[in-house]
Amino acid sequence: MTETKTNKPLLEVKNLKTYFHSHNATVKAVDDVSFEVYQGETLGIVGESGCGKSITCMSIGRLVECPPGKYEGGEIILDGEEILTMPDAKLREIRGNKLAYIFQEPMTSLNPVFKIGFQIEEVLMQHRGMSKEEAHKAAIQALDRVRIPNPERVVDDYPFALSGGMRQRVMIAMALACSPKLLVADEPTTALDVTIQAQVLDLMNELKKEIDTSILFITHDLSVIAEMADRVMVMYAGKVVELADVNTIFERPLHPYTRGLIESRPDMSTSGTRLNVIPGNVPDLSDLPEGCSFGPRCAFCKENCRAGVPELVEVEPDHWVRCYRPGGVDLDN
Amino acid sequence: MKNYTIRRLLQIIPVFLGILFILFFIIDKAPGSITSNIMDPRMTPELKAALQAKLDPKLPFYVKFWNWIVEALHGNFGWSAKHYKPVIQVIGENIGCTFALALAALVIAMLIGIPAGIISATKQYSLIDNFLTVFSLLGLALPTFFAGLLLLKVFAIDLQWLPIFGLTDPSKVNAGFWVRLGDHAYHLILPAIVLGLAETASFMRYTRSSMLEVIRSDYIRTARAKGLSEKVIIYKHAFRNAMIPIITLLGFRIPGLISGAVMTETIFSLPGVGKLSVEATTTRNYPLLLGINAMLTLATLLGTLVADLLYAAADPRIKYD
Repeated sequence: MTETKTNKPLLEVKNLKTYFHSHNATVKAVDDVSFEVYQGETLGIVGESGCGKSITCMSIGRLVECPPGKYEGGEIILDGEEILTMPDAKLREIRGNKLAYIFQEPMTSLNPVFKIGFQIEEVLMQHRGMSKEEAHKAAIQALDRVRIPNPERVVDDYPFALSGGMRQRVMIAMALACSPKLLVADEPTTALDVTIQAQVLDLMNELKKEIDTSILFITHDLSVIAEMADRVMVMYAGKVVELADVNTIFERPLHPYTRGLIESRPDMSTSGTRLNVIPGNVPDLSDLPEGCSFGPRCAFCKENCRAGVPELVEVEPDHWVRCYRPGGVDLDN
Repeated sequence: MKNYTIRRLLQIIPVFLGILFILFFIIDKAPGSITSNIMDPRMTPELKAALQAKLDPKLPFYVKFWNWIVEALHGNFGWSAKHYKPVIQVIGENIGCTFALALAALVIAMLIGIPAGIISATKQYSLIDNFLTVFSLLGLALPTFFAGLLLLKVFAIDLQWLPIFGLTDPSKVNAGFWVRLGDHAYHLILPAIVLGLAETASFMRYTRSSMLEVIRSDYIRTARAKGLSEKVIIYKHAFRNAMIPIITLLGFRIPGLISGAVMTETIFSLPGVGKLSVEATTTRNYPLLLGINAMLTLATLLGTLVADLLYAAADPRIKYD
């Protein structure tokens, strides 16, 4: 882990609540989530589908569609500026500039009717005030930087002419065009096959060093997290359940859910035996169980777990867990 | 592109012939004949039989069809006994009015329908969306003859802002070209609005649903994440994509507009092909009716070809050849 804690956090998310209201139910997709991202660090967010990790990352750029979504509370402070309350015009200056996104689906994330070059130029003209010619040159450089062969030719291609891996490189080029301070990568490699995935991850790590950006990296793939993240945040049912640096998470996971995730990974030694699984399913976010949301699936669940929701507590320095019995041992307080 | 266009034009030939065959069959089997309307009641039965044999000889249907095609290929689409002119000339004299009316209606429909559809989609379920939805359903549900008469009553009779019928003011028949053109345009305002209104509704609904689909897509989220303004996102990134299905509608509406002109031209007594086809039907002027329908068929086929070619212009993913 890098010595990042000395400086001020680049991004502070405090008690963020993003809810979705439908006719008869409220889905608390992000429920009281707080975390920080420091300059130059990569924070990984892991969790199952529907645990709120994507909505958390969309909320940072206020990209959640409202309605049906609604920011019910909290603060998001990026580089000293509050995102949730800032006027739209100001927000547009930040999006694509200080704060950039890479999405999960490279096949559909680029506009099919515009040339690759134009889509990158647009960001540069918007935020850097470049002329068409300057932006065109810069777009070729941006494509070159993400190791796309023949950038002079690709710049005039339409997205359909490129493969998924190449399109994701274009997305990265577009996201990094304005050297953002924070790059939010929402499962950027999930839709790619494994060899391309490794290439894209390597590329992201190289570019991160090159332009000194912080990354908020979302994935459900623990091996990807191990490769990318400095610190890891585990989410379950809209809440943060564990937060620690990457080594701690893999060596001493304390929340039963984190343990379950790590134990359910296949590796060389478990070949031939059945995989460990977490029993049960992710709860319905509009109808959460009483007490700890993970309670019904937890091997250590006791009376007090069913009665109240545990707080996120720092059980050892920089290791936060939301559990009454971290590691299966009662918290003595 | 060139090869594709030529190939498509060649494909039109068998389709056109097939449709003509069906049209010819239906019209041939319809009761009555051209002679029933032009015969003088004082004619002797012998004369009647002779006239019948000359104008509409009793031949097998397929022979008549073959003769008609051969003649048509020589530029002769038959004789309109009522007008005492060749069919092609009668259509030619009337088609200008219909084209002008259809074009004006199409422009109105697009200028109102497309922006209204975009607004409706971006403000889904809002008051304005609901208002526009009701308005468009009303536009679709109101029959042209009713809407036409209603507007006539208000604007031509009560307010007297616009003329009641016809394409030309009698006092301006011999005026200069520009004066006459202006007069035609003035006469076409109300009919074009009536015909355009129903089309507006379908353009609006199409644009709305197409836009709704597009603005939920991933690349619109990307555009937002890039920091683009809502205006650029909606009118550039979203609309360029939403336009593609609207082009199909355009291709299909061109012939629809011409046939839709039937009612409008009849109400406003405009000398167009629509009114002509009504007359041709009621007077059993079958050669003329066949000629008009052949023309509409051709317009439909060319309309779809134009739509297909426009596709390639709008969507880079579509490449012909």
